[in-house]
Amino acid sequence: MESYKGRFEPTRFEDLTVTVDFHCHSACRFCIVQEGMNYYKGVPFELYEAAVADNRRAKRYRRVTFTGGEVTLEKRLFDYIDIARDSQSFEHIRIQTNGRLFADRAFARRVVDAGVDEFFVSLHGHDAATQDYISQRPGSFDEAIRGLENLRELGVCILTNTVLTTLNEPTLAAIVDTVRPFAPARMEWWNYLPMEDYADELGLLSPMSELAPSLREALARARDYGIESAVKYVPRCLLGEHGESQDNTQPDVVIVEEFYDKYPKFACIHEAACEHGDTCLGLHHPYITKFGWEEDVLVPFPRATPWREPEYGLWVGSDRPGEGTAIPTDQPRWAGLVVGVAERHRARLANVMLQRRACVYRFELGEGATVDVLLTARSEAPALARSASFNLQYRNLQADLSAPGLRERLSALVEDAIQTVIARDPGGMHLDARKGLVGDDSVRRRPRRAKALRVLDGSEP
Amino acid sequence: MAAGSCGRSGADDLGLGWSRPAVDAAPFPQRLVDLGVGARGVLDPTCSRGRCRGLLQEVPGDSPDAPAEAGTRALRIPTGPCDRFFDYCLQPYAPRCDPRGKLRGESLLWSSLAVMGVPVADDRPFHAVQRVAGRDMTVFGVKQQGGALSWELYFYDPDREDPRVTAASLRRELAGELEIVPEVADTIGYFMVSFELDAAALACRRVEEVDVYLPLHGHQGGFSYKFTASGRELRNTYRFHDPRAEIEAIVHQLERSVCVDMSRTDLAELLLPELLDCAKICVARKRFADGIYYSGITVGQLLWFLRRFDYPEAIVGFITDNRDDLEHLRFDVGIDHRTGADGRLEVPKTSYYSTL
Repeated sequence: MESYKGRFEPTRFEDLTVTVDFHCHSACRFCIVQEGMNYYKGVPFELYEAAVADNRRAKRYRRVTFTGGEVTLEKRLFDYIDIARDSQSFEHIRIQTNGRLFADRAFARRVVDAGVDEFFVSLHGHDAATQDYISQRPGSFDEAIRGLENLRELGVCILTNTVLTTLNEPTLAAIVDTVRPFAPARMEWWNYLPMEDYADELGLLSPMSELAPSLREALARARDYGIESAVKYVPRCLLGEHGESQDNTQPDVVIVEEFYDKYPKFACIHEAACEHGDTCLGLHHPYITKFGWEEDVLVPFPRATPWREPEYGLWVGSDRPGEGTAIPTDQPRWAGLVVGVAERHRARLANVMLQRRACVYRFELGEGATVDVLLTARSEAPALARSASFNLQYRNLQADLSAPGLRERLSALVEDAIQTVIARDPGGMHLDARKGLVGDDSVRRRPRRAKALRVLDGSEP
Repeated sequence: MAAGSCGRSGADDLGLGWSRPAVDAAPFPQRLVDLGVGARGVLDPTCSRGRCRGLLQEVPGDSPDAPAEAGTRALRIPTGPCDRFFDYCLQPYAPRCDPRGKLRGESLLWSSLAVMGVPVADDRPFHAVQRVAGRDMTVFGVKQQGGALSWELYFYDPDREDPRVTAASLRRELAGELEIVPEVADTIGYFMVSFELDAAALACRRVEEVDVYLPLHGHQGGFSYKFTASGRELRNTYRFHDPRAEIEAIVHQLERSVCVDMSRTDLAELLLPELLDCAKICVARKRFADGIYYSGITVGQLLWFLRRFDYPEAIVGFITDNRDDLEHLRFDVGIDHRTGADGRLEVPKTSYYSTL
């Protein structure tokens, strides 16, 4: 219940994306932060500095991505980059951009020299007419292409991003041809998510009956050119032989919380029947409202095991452009809180899942018996115990407790894990590394709407 | 615990008690439902206040039985240390977050009465019900039909644990505050009874109809009869389903209807994606409409529902203004559908539920 599919899920908790500011010199018709562009503010610089300092200690994030708005417009861009580079705590520094300013080769070189090694460049049209119509800025296509040329010559990792709408749906394969000369490590295809226009009055939502064939053609062409693809927010069963390219993961994004209130949620009528029900988000609510559940179009992959409601979001690792599936690291600082516990109980620490709201230690005791020990932020909320930083509980017990001695073994293991965490927790450990990065001052003041609401109480005549 | 089953939310399957020595024990259980206690028998080990009637607790002092000032109505009722959390089937659920310092679900009842301009004096039947049935033990529904609100109260006691909440005893116990006209024999094997109150009924303190609900065998669900002074008639049937694992059964029922012309109606108009993320779905057959109920939704989903179905701005405003103080609760909502004379889908009635 209360699906984890409501936010940026599955989240890559080893990749951090920092929203630097919300200015842009394009005006893409589908922009998901269009309204926020006027009001959202980026992460305050000093808080960003603190987050980087924390990562230097914790080594939690492997990549930092700067986004906006158009981050290349940010006056302090190089300050942001310098701090990330000097921390030596990130394996990669990525910029998410419309690519236009990289048409200036000197600027492109300066950014690369500063330490940015990955460029995630938006390209929504295969030609100038399409791209410039979408961006509402004549010349933006030519600038982006020149930018890609410069980045290609500089030898950096290039990824492209195409948002799928009715505006480009007929020509998706042609975009592959446009991009091919720049040898991108990956082309990403993100189905349009309405953030404000839930009723799709702009007519940007493309029905799957039209989008899926066009997308499959583009994916086939990319495969033929040896370009990796990643598709977001299109049901896996509609991708045909390209199902493996579905990747709905997103990084851990530092953005004003209000953003999430508008972020569409997803559902699929076949979720419980589909083998990929945990990773395929299905369709977003505005799509379902407009086009229906597509219950006869979506075809669930037969399940090998009975469906169970997922306990947590998936635990996925850092992005590896061109290298296939990302494998999460074991997060040594967090694993260290329970090192030795499993061995004392002839068990195995199968996984350490570090997420925004919880750190989950999954222990296996053999013969299918597993139990999760869960750390959540310390609060007065119900818990089995508390350490200096956390509330501790156990959950997701999978065991035949009638087996002789198993209950006692599990109990001893859980108790040992809890006591060990309590003993080792130094205090000050944070699950949500983003916390505090976007505070009350993250939104510019907007005109207040008059409240016409009035609650009458019975005493009024 | 059987093989393959799971304690999904900190169940005490391992017997790790709540007051283990040497650990900083939680002030109340991780999850009431996992303690394996019934709807009418929740024991809160931290409750030291109030008078307990068996396992049931009554909490004097912070009940709105006696408003602080005559002629005023308290709308924001704070949570108490012995609060329990039940869905509209009076099944316990774990609060979504720490309930301390927040509001009780009954706040929605009082605010709806205020919004409709019901005189404070007409709250007396509700206070009497809370006193007789016990705090948290009555489900209330706020219904919107034809632009007007009405209120229905539901009394569950399938195992006859509490002699004060049988149909006959409620009629007796509430006399003086509410005249319940129909007589329902307690020998009937019902698991729940309910009656509806609108502003007029509240003003004259009189209930003309009582609904009686009987269980199905082998399925979660039931059917209802309407009892009046002159007789009774079969009314509705209800079937409960897991919203994901039993989606085929839900769709099967929704698509086979005499009230909704499915050749003109998209499934997504009936099965709303915004509410599918819930604990249970109930599909109902009624005389003149089909109903679908979504149980265990969040306050965010409740707000979406209220806006979607055009509830009075003041209702939406009260919940919006108090949203943070209602985040710990789960709610239930119902929607009736039928195809109108013009072939378009109509929603003649909607409702939302919490406990009193």
